[in-house]
Amino acid sequence: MTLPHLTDEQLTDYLSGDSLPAIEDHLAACDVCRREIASMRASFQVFDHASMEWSERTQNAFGSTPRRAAPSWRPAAAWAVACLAVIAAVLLFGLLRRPVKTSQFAGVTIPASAGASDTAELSQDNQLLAAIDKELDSADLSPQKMYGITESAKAR
Amino acid sequence: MLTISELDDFEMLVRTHRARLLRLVAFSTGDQDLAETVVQDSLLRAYNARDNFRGDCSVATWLRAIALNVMRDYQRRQKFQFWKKASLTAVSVSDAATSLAGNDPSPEARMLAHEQVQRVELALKSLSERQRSVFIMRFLDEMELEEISVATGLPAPTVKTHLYRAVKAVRLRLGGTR
Repeated sequence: MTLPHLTDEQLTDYLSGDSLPAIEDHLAACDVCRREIASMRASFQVFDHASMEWSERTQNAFGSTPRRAAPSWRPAAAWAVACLAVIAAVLLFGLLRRPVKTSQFAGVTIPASAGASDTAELSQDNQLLAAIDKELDSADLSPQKMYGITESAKAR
Repeated sequence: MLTISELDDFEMLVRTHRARLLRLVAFSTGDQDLAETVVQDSLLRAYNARDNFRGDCSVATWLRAIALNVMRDYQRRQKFQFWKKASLTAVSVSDAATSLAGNDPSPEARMLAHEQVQRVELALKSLSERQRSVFIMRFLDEMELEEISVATGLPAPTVKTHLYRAVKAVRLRLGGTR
C-alpha cells in the first residue's frame, strides 16, 4: 500500500520545527518524505550560506558603515579656522614690515665692520618685503579660492 | 540580541544587522541597488527613532519591520523606476555557491551546491515579493511566526499561508514528490 505523503502544510510545519506526532510517525515509515525533507534542508542551508556570503561581500564592497552626513558644526569650524589663519598671517606680515626706528637701538653698539654691508642687506630685505606686500595685496585670499571652489561648482 | 541601550551604538547596529537586512531586501525585491538604499535608509531611520523603540519585540524584528516599510515606500513612490529600466542590478548568488560545498571540495560537491542554490533561487523568483520576504525570514533568518507577523504587519495565519505557498514552490523546483 502506498503511503499518502506529507502535504505542503505538514512539510512546512515540520521544516519550521512544528512537528506533530502524526508527521513523526509518517516520517518513520516513509523514505520518500524523509529524503525530500533532507534534500530541502540541505538546499536551504547551502542557499543560506551563499546568500549571506553574497550579502557580506556586498557590504564590504560598499564599506561597513553607511556614509553619514557631517555634523553641522564642521563647516562653521572650518571657516573659523581659515579666518583665524588669514588674520594671523596679516598680523604677522604687518609686524615684519613695520619700519625700523633708529631710536629703538640707541644703546646698541654696532661693530664698525658691520656698517655698510648691513645697510645694503637691510635695503634688500625691505625691497623683498615690499614686493611680497604688493603680491599679497593683489592676491585673492577668499576661502572659495583657497579650497578650490569654482563659480561653476558653486552654481550646481 | 541587542537591547534598547545598544541601539545607541550605531556602528554596532550596522555591524550586527546590515548583512541580514540587505539579504532580506535584496532577495525580496531582486534589486541590489534598491536594497542597498533601503537598508542604509532603514538603519539611519531606526537610529534616529531609537527613542520610539519600546522593546515589545526584538531589535532584529523592529529593524525588519522598518526595512520592509521603507522598501514599500520606495516602491510606491517609484523612485527607482528609471533605474529599474536602465540598470537593474539583479541579485544572484549561484556563482558564490561553488565555494560552499562544506568540507568536501570535490567538483561534484561544488556542482551539487551550485545546483541547489540555483534551484532555490529559481523557486524564489516564482514567488510574490511578500512570499519571498516571509520565506527568508522563516527559513534563513529563523524567525518565529509571531515575529514575522510583527515585521510584516500581517496576521499570523496569513503569514502561514504565504509560507505554505513558498514551500510548495520550492518543493516543486527541488523535485518534490508531487
